[in-house]
Amino acid sequence: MRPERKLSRLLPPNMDAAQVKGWIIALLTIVALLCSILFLCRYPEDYRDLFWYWGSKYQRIMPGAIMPRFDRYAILTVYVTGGALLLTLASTALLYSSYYQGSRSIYLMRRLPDGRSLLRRQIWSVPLRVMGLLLLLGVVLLAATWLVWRFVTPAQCLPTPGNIQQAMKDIAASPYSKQLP
Amino acid sequence: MIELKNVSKKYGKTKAVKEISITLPQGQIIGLFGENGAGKTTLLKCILGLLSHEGTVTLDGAPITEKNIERLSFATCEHSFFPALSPKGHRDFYQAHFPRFNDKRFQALMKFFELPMDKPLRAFSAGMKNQFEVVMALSQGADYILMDEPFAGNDVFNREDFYKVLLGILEEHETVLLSTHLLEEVKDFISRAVLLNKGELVGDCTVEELEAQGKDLMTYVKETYHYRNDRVSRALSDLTGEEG
Repeated sequence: MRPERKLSRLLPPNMDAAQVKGWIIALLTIVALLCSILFLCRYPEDYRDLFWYWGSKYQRIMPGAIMPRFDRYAILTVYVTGGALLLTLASTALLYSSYYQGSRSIYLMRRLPDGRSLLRRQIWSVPLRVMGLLLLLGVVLLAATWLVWRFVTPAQCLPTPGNIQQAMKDIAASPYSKQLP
Repeated sequence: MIELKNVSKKYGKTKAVKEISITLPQGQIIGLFGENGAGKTTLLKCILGLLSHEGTVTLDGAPITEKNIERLSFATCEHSFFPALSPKGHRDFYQAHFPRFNDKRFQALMKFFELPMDKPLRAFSAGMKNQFEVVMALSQGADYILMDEPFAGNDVFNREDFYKVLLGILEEHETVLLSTHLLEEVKDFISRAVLLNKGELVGDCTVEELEAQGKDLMTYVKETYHYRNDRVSRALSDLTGEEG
């Protein structure tokens, strides 16, 4: 069965399945792009701060340099996905209002022998499925960004207890810290 | 039989329907008359359970719920179809949800009104939409067909022809409750008249009872509403200053 046809069986009859499919694809794409862009804005900047640079070719990890914890990047995905989830939840109002557009087809729905359950299904089925997809996408994005954070960041800069302890020692041994009172 | 007992409906402080008690037996064509705001639409919606109300509405002694609602259909001038669906789509939808859907009647009425099967309803003219609304109400397979100004905006020829077809297709067990302003047009088709005024039931009379009294429907309605025959001449004389 074509996806649009399958979708049209889940939606209120007044909704255009092709259009809804377009909205769903657009929403998932925007979430994926926005999360990726925000991560790509934040992570490379933090990564660059781990190094000392000489000219354009030479770089060395700064003693005591530690990458921020993964929460700093994960929160972006959580906010964007959470916003998209709220938007999807709000779309149930749009689906319900479709029974009042151009006619009062709500009267027909309420006259059906299985009207109440059908009404609930038509309003909730697609948003709940989209919310499931969004959660899945959020998990995939978190996993992808975690992999980058974990394996692109130099091992000695990851904020592990051992690295943090080492960083504290490096900072204490630094000639700058000896100038402190 | 549909039985209404002390049905009342309030909108805020305004009582749109006041303690109406009537019975609607099977096999009648009942005209529901009243001026704008008399409570006709509200009463029909109360019967269908589309509006919360006081009092009780029962169908063969049982309250109207999802179990027996399919025995009632509704044609409204507000329209209750799906604008994005075609008549063919509606037929499939009705067949899936109303086991007694009458496809033969559907086909015949679609042909009678010359309505296209594959065009979405939103592309229909206002008159065609009204016609389709009526087609679906009559084809659902309901025992009680409630119609609320079904032909508002349709031309007179279509309406007259339709009433003739309606008389021809209705089966003995089917009841039509027809709310309309067009008393003159339906007076020869109805078997009973129910009159509302400001939400109150002010008249309920069968055609046989009227015939026995030697009255026609129009006279009965005018008497019930205390229609003043000199109303027009008085208004004209007030406006022109001439004696009527």
